[in-house]
Order: sequence, then structure tokens, then C-alpha cells
Amino acid sequence: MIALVSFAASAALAVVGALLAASVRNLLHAALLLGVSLFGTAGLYLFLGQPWLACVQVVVYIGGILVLILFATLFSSDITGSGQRAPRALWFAALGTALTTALAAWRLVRGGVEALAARRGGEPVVPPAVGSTDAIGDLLLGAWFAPFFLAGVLLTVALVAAVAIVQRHRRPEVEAEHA
Amino acid sequence: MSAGTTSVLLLALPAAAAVLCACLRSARAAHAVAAAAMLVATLLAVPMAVEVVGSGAVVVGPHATWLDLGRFTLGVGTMVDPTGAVLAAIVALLATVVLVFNAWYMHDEPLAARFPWQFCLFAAAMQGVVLADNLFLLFCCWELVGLGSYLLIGFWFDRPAAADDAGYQARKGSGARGVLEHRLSPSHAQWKAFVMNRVGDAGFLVGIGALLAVSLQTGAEGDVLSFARLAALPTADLSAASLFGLSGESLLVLAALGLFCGAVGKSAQFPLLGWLPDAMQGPTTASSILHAATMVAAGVFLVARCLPLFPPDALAVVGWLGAFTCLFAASIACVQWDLKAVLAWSTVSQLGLMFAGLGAGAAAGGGEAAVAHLFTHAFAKCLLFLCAGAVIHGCHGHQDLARLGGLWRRMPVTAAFALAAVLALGGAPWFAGFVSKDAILAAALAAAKVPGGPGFGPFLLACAGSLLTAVYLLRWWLRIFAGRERQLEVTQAAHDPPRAVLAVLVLLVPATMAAPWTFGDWLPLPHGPEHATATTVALVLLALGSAIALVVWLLAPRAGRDLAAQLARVLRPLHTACAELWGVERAFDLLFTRGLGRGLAAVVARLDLGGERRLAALELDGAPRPLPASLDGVVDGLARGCADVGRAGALLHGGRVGVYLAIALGALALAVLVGWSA
Amino acid sequence: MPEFGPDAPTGYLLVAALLFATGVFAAISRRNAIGVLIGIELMLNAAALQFAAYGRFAKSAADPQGQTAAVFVIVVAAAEAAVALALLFAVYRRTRDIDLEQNRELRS
Repeated sequence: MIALVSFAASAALAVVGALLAASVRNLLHAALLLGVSLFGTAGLYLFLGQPWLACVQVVVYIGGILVLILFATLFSSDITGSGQRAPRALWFAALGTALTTALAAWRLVRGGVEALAARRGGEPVVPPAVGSTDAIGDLLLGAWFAPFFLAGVLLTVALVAAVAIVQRHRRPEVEAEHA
Repeated sequence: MSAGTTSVLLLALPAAAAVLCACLRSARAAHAVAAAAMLVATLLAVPMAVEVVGSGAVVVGPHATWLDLGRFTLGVGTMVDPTGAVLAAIVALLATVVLVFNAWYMHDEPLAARFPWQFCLFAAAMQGVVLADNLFLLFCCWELVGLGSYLLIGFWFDRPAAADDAGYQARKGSGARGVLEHRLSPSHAQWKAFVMNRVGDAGFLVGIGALLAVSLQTGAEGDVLSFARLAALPTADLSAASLFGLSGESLLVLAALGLFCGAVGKSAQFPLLGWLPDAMQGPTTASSILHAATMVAAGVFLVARCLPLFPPDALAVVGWLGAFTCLFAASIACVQWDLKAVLAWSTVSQLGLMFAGLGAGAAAGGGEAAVAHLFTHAFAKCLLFLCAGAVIHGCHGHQDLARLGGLWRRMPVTAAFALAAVLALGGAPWFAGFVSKDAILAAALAAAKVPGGPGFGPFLLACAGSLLTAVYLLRWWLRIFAGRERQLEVTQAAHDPPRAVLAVLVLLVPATMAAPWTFGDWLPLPHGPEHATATTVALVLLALGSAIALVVWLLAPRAGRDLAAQLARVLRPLHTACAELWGVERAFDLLFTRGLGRGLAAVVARLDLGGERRLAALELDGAPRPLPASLDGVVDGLARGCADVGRAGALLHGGRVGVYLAIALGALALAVLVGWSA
Repeated sequence: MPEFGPDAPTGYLLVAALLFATGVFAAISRRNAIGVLIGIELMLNAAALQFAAYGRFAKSAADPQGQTAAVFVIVVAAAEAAVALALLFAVYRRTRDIDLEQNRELRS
């Protein structure tokens, strides 16, 4: 019972946090609410019996990415302002697209659930195996070595690219323009 | 020179003359060139006619394939048969005479230089009709004949309508009725001729299409529209032919009626006859050839040449309509006061008589009889018109029969020539019309006796028409040439044309006699048992008609008499009906010009902008707002719609990241939804 | 409600679907680049959750492939966030603002 309630709480945290993050005006609040949603997702990872993933979620996502985003909000001229909404037509387009996407996703979910049940072939769900980190390590350095390696390359490229973009242009006209 | 080569030259000479004359500025030089070309053509055509008539064979000239359309071809070529050879010679001869006459007739006409080339084009087109070896080429030349008539009728294109023409108002006949004066002008007359001929030609095209369909469906290939191939069509097995649910036989009837429809337009038969009297707006010399050998003869010639194609049902239609037109036009000609109008309605009537003969069918000898009458009529009518031209020229444009009179003293030669032509047309013994008119009446009588034929109707109508022919022709001649001069100021300056012109006119006089036509029996006239009856009937009618004309003419000056006054009172409604053309012109004007014309204008205005008021606003301020459900409105709406779509598209492509994202994700989601349900 | 409980896949997948749709909405409706970034993070998070859920309820619960794929998603998210932040920085330096309505020209 407690498990069910806490599971529901985690799910609600993730969904409600996301909804609020998408709809509040204040950009800082939105970023923080994104953190709430990410926390809820981390809770769900625990229920899935994947504590390592939950840790990565908290450390990398919340500790790294979210802080980056919060840092980026400093660029915005109007964090709390009323001008955060897109034009009305675009807002309706967003709503329509989101609803369509939700419908499509719901179809996919139902299909996925059926596919999972068909794969299991009536076998009961095994309780989650805690402590699978070894298996992850084996996988990353074994069968999935190439994707792992590529992920490393991606991160490196992203870092170098970020530095390259942020670096000041040496073009004089740009200098003059912002002087 | 072979007949085939000659036939090509007969076509080429007038055509070349037309081109050459169009380049000449001098009226004298142009007339000389044109007359010389037509004279050479005559000198070529007469021996050819003698040769072809003598042998009685059909000579096929050069032929080339013009269009190869797969299963069939359309060709260009010439063909000379006895009828065509004689008609070609007549066209060339009459054209020569008329050109020489015209050089005198138009000697003080500023636009005279453009007459010869239009005239030569007209003649060349008619030679094409006569000498074409297939129906399609004939149709092309037929249309060129229409163009030539259009040009010649509108020769004085800048003349105002009769209602606005002070000269016309001053000179018009005291009894002029039935003429819609506000629509009587050369430019309107040429349009009228053109449009009425288009109506007939639509039927002609339907006929050609039906013949083509039947030919192709009976398995014919190659130049299927050539006359040699068409002549074999009625004897072919028609069981395979059908179109739009019509059997082969019905299609042949349709084709025959279609061709006849074209002839009705060209030869001014009822109901497409209004244009020919209006064509009087052209020069009298143009009328003389148009009424004799070129324009109106084409219709009779077409039906005569295609007579083997005409089934009995179609022949009955031809006979009835022709005979009816004969009587109808003759009744109108009796009460006209314009001397040219009498001749115009006379032409319509005589053409109707020819169709009555054609309707009798080849078996009864109708074809030959009608063609013979076409020949004799051509000479007589040409001569009549040239005499009329001389009279009008001498009387300074006066054409009113009520004012002319006694001209035989001032222009005796003209009077004599006109009398010869009158007698020829009326069918007096020893004159040309006697031969051919008897033949037609005999043919009609023979056809009437055939069970299942058209019956006695056409014969009786043609007889009545012949009676009236004698009446109106004699009245015409008596009122112009006989008696005393009614108005001296009109007639005092009249004189015969110069000797040179008379020398040319005299060429036509022998042809008004019977002798040239009966000489050696070269003209294949039927001599059936009905011929004696028909001759008797014709002579009685002629005597009766002449008597009526003479009595009326003698009584007219003393109209105070009781008998004459009572007769006049009794006949008044009939006279009015005839003078008003039986209401045909007014009915056409009401139905087509006003009703259909206005209605179409309203419909077009509605389609164009949404209403006549908007169309009128277009001329005022230039920018009316069209109704959305009109042509302009739809175009405007399309333009506005395109602009809206463009604006919407620009919105999508405005650099907003959100829009791109919405499109991409929305498309993906829709793809998932659709793909899943599929 | 066993099918929505912690031991059934439906609940997780449903949450992932909702997160994704919410992310779509945020990414489209925000006019501030950071709002868009937040929406994208939500979508990525949903994807990671999806991987994890499918991995857990696959034939063998001990199979680590789902988790590992989720980690890769997080790696991609991190890289994306870093590059996006750099881009925002560059844009900010040009126009002193990161409002997307004001930055509709993609030319430099």
C-alpha cells in the first residue's frame, strides 16, 4: 500500500511538475519545477529497481543540466514578465500539437504494453533485481562498447563546440556593432 | 491542254489576279488586270466545258494529300464534271462581263480600286467550290465564297444606316415597307449575311461529320470525302454504321439534311433568306454576280452534286422547302417598290424553284432540270442586274419603281436587254427560262406521281410561284421602261451605258434565248411524258401572270374606278402581309437581335461581372466590384485566395522555432496515429 | 489497480507519454529560448523513462539494456544542454536578449 502511494506520489510529482514547468510564467520557477519533475522521475526509477539510474538522474540531470539551465535564465531580459507567452495562434498550435502527440503516445503505450505482455507469455513479473550495476558495466564495456565510445565522442564534441560558439568573434564589424 | 490542268489554271488565275489587284492603286489598272485574267480564264474554260460536256465523262485533275489523319486523309485536288465545267465557264464569263461593266459603273467611285481584288477572290473561291474534288475542300472554298460576299456586300462599309441616311430617305420608295431601316446599312448587311451563313454552315459541318462517320464505319479508307467515294456510299452496306443511336440510313438522312442546311444558308432559302435582300446594300455589280453565278449558286450546286446522297425523305424536305420559298419570295417580290429588292426576292424565288426541282430527285430528272435553270437564271439575272445598275446609275441613285418610268426612250438598248432577261426569267417561249422552268415543273410533276414521294405540294407551290414570277417581272419592266416618265427630274439624265459596255452586255443576250441551251441537246434535259403537261401549265401560268401585270399596270393610273378600288380594298391585307415580308424580318429581329441578343448580353454580363450595371460601371470608373459568383469575381477570389495562402505560408515560414517544431512533431504524431490505425 | 501500480508497465509509460506531450507544449508555446530548452529536457526525460520502463518489464528483469539506454539519453541531454547554452550565450551577446520572437532571423 505504501509502495503504491509513494509510487503514485512520484508519478504525480513528475507529471504535475512538468505541467507547471510548461505553464508558469516565471522562467526561474519553470526551471525549478523542471527539477521537481526530474526528481519525480528519479523516484520512478527507484520503483523500477534501477537505483543507479536514479542516482545518475539526480547527479547529472538535476545537479548538472538543471544548474546549467538556471544559469542560462540569467540571460533572459524578462524572467518574470508577461511577455513569456508566444503569440496566441502559436499557443493554440502548441496545445493542438501536444494533444495530438499525447494521443499518439497513448496509442504507442497501449501497443507497447500489449507487446510486453505478449513477450512475457503469461509469466509473472519478477521483482526488480537490485544491484545490477555490474551488468551495466559489463554491457557498456562489452556489447555496447561502440555506443559508449560514441557517447564519449559526442560529449567531447559538444564541449569543444560550446567553447567554440561562446568564444568571441574576432570580426571587427561585429566588435563595432556591440561596442 | 487537258481538262485537269485547265481546272487548276481556272483556280489559279482569279486567285493570282486577286493578289495582283490588291497591290494596285489605280482602279483602272486593277480592273484591266482583273478583267484580263477573267477573260483568259473564260477562254480556257469554254473549250474545257465543250470538251467535258462532249465526252460526258468526269475528268479528275491533280490531287494531293493535304492531311493524313490515319484512317482517312483530306486532300486538295480538282475534278471536272459536265455540270462543273459549264458552271466554271459561266462564272468566268460573267465575271469578265461584270468587271468590264464595273469599270464604267464605278468610274467616279473613290474606292473603286478595291473592287477588283475582292471580286477576283470571290470568283476564285467560287471556282474552288465548282472544281473541288472532295467535300472538305469544297467546304473551305465555300467559306471563302462567304468571305468574298462579306467583303463585297460591305463595299461601302462607312455608309450610315438607312434611317440616318438623308440620301436614302430622299430617294426611298413611296411604298417601302417591311425594311428595318435602322438596321439597313452595308456594314450591317455584311454581318447579317455572314451570321446567317454561319447558321447554315453549322449544318453543313454536321453533314460532313455524318458522312465521315458513315464512310469510316463502313470500312472506307483514304480520301473518303472525295465525291467519287461519296457517290458510292448509298449503295454500300450501311449495317455497320451507327452513331449516337442513329442507324446508317438515318445518318445519311442527317448528312443530306445537313448539306441542305448549308445550301439553305448560302442560297437564301426559308428561313435563312433575310440576308440576300439586304445584300443589295453592296454595289449593284457585286449583286449581279452574287445573285447569278457565285454565291447563291453554290448552294444549288452543292445539292446537285451531292444529289445521289439524298435519300427520298431528305429530297421531300428539299422539294417542299424550295417550292415554299419559291412562292413565298415571289409573293414579296410582287409588292416591292425598290427595283433591286424586286430582283433580290426574285433570286430567292428562282433558287427556291431550283430546289423544288432538286427535290424531285435524280430519277425524275430534277437534278438536270435544276442545274439547267441555274445556268439560264445566272445569265438572265446577271443581265437584269447590270441593266438595273445602268438604270440606277442613269437616275442618280433613284431606285423607286413609283418614280421611274418611260425609260425605254432614253435607254432603248438597256430596255431591250432587260426585256430579254425578263422574258428569259419569266419563261416565255423561245427564251432560255422556258426550257429550264418547264423541265423543273415536269420533274416536280413526275416526282409527284411517284408513290411515297413529296406529293403534288411542291409542284403546286412551284406553279403558283411561276405565276407570280411572270407578274412581278413584267411589273418591274413596265414600271421602269414603259409608259410615260413619271418624274422628269429623276429620269431626264438617264442614258445608255457607253458602247464598249454595251458590247460586253450583248454577250449575255444570246444566253437568254432558248437556242443555245437546246442546241444539239447538249444539256441533258429530261423529256418525260410529263413534259407536255408541264409546258402547257407553264404557258397558261405565264399568260395569266402577264395578263395580271398588264391589267394592273393599265388600271393603276385610273385608280378611281370602282372595280379597281374594291379589288384594292379586298387585297389590302394580303398586300400588307407581302410588303411586310410576312413578318419574317420583324420576327427575326424580335427573336434573335432583341430577344436572344439582349438575353445573351444579360447572361454574359452576369457571368462576367455579375450584372449589366456593374459592366456599365466598368466604363464609368473602371473598377466595379464584381459579384463573387461571376467570372471576374471568381478570378478575383482566386487571386485573393492565393494571396491568403501565401500569407499563411509566410506565417509558417517566419523563422519561429515553435512553428517548425509544431509542424515536425504534429506530423510525426499524425503519422503515428494514422499508421497505427492502418 | 495492479496494471497502474509499481509492478506494471502501464503507469510508467503513461507518465512518460504525459511528460513528452507536456514537453511538446512547452517547447512550442514558450517564446523564451530557455522555456523551449525546458520543454526539450522534458521530452528527453520522457524518453529516458520509457527506456527504463521497457528494460524493467522486458523478459529478464536483470537485463541492463534499458537502464543503459536511459543513461545514453541523459548523456545526449547533457551534450544538448551544453551546446544550447553556448548558443544562447552567443545569441545573447548579439542581441542582448534570448527572446525567440525577437530573434527570428537565422542569418548572422
